[in-house]
Amino acid sequence: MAEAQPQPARAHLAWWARVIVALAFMSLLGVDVLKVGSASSQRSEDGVLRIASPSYVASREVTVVLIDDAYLGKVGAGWPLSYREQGLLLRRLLSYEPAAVFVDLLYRHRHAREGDGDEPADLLSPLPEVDEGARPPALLFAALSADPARTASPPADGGARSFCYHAVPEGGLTNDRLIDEASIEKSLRMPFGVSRPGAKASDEPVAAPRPASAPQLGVGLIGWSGCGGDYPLLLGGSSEAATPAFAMFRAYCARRDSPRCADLAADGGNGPAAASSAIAARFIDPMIVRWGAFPSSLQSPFYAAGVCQRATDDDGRVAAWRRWWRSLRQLALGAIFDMRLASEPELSLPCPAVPVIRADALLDGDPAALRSLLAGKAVFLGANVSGIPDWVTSPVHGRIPGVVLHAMALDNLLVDGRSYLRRLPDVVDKLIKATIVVAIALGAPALLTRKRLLLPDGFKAALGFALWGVYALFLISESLVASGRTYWYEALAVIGVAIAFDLIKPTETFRYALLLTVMAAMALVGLRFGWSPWNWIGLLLVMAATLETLKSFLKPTTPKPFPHPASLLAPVAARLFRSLPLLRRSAP
Amino acid sequence: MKRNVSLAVAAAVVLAVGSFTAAPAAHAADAPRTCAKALKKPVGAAGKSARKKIGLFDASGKFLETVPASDIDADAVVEDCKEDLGLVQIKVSGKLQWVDRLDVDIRLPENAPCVVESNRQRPDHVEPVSSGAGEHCEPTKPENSRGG
Repeated sequence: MAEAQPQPARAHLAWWARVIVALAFMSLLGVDVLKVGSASSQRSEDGVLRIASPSYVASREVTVVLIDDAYLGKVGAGWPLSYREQGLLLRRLLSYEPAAVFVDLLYRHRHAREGDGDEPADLLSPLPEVDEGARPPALLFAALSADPARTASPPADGGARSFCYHAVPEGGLTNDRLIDEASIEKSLRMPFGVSRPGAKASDEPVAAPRPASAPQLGVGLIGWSGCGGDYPLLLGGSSEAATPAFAMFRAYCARRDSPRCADLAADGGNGPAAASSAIAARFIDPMIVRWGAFPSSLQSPFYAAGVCQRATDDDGRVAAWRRWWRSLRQLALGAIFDMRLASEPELSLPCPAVPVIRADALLDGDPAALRSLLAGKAVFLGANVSGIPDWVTSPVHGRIPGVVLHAMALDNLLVDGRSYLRRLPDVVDKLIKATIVVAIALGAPALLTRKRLLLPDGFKAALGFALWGVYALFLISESLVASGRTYWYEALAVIGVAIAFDLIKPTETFRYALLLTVMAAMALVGLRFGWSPWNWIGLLLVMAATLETLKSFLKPTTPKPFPHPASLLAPVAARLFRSLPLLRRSAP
Repeated sequence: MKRNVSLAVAAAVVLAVGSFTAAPAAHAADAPRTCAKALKKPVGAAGKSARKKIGLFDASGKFLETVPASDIDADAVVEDCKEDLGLVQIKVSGKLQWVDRLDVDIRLPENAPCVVESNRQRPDHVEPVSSGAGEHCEPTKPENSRGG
């Protein structure tokens, strides 16, 4: 029998055969068997966004004012607030002279019957006017979007329009407004500048005549589908159907000078309609919203100590080492549990990078602190009231009020402009994955058989063992300093894994740690260039499956000794196992 | 017997003293949080600047009109206030009018919010959502029910 003889044919498995094996595993990921592909893709994206969140530097130009249960209780108001109460609130907010305000409250139904005294007009009548010569702020209200499949002009290919486009649709962008008129109480439609659904903007009056010094009213569209977890800036392939973040971006840039506002400038030529369409085309791709890990220090006067994680410094900066440390903790601890469930704010990161203040601060808060948060800023007014569901899930903070998503999307625009984070085109995404997988298949012989190509086995085993050891020590140190959750069991499990891997596959830990690091690092670097985080966890699984499969073709199939000769613990284990009759045969 | 009587007297004294001292505290808890502090407070110069305008409201918070802040009487003090709406009553052009507290720069820093709980939920949080039942809502009776 030639059972222990290495087979030359196996050791030289053709390159194309190796590529086929690798692509077969990648296809499994693509077919999404048992949802492994989509689950790992989501996990990869969330993981990268979370680890990269400390490196996000917010613009400090966006603020959220929140009406919540505590506010309602304090002023003794019910829900919804009466038009008069809302009018007073808006008046107070506008007295701080913000550049633009978005009201994330829907005015679909009247609050009271006609003649009850509380009229929708009471919402707008108290709004202050600006001094002569000054530019009035923009005041945008939420309106539901109309389904573009039913209301928009059909695209050139004859199909139905959808909410989300990743490129300019065939036939170009339209200027359909896509507003569900019924989502706005009828007496407010004209002041808000809402025209009938499907009508072109140029066909209808934009708004009822208002004094030039009064706030300029408009709407931002909420409600869409088919965009996954991404945030669309323009709906239905229309340059006029702006969602709150993009509507606010336009309104803010019309009043303030910000470097990223240059992305809203026309490149020249071809008339205003073509220029508007060309600008809109830069923002047609939905956004993957990046979240920050450091709340603004500007909101600190309104929060009790210990509610939020550590904020930025007074100038909005954070030391580089602090950002790195926070990323490292998110990476190391996030690998074993969902950090958003932690009770310690430094781990769960409950507060977003845009400041969030409660509405009653407008009346009694420190004027200087309020001016720094509101004057000249883009302000979102929203609600977070028990029983009224308006939550979104953030990969960094957990479930947060929906208005914060709009605010963060605008902040992304003010930070990155047209280079905001978006999905790679599907072809490019697949090409990158295929290239990486094919490279692994081609390099498999070197990786699997030429063991001393880079480092000796003993050294690799020691590095792998050390990696697990450092991880266990990290968990132990976190358990010693943490006030909430401890990680003793996890540390013990890591030590167990370290011992098992050292005895069975001592060099594998290092190899896969290296692959993991390279994959995660590539995803993080890609983020820096505005590329969406690709499915690096799925790719890692594909690589592991490919290498393990090719191993049996490329390496001699002699039974492995136990413990492995390169194991650090082999001398101790061999002595131990000799005393155990069942394992004696396996010992060297 | 004597001892029992003296104990009862002592208890009565303690109760009486307790109720006297507790009464102002209870009253303070019921009192408006800001009005008491704002009443008779003179309207500051910041509220009367010539360029500034103030809004006039009725007692229910309905907006009436805008007037120059210089119309506020020179010796105007806060005569009354509405806690829920944040309005104060002062003399404007010789008449008592309701104006927004912010317009006349009457702030009560001790009343500023101090958030003690962040506005986020854990990702596994479940919250029942209800629009509530109307006062005229009558539950459907089972078909076989004979009623009562």
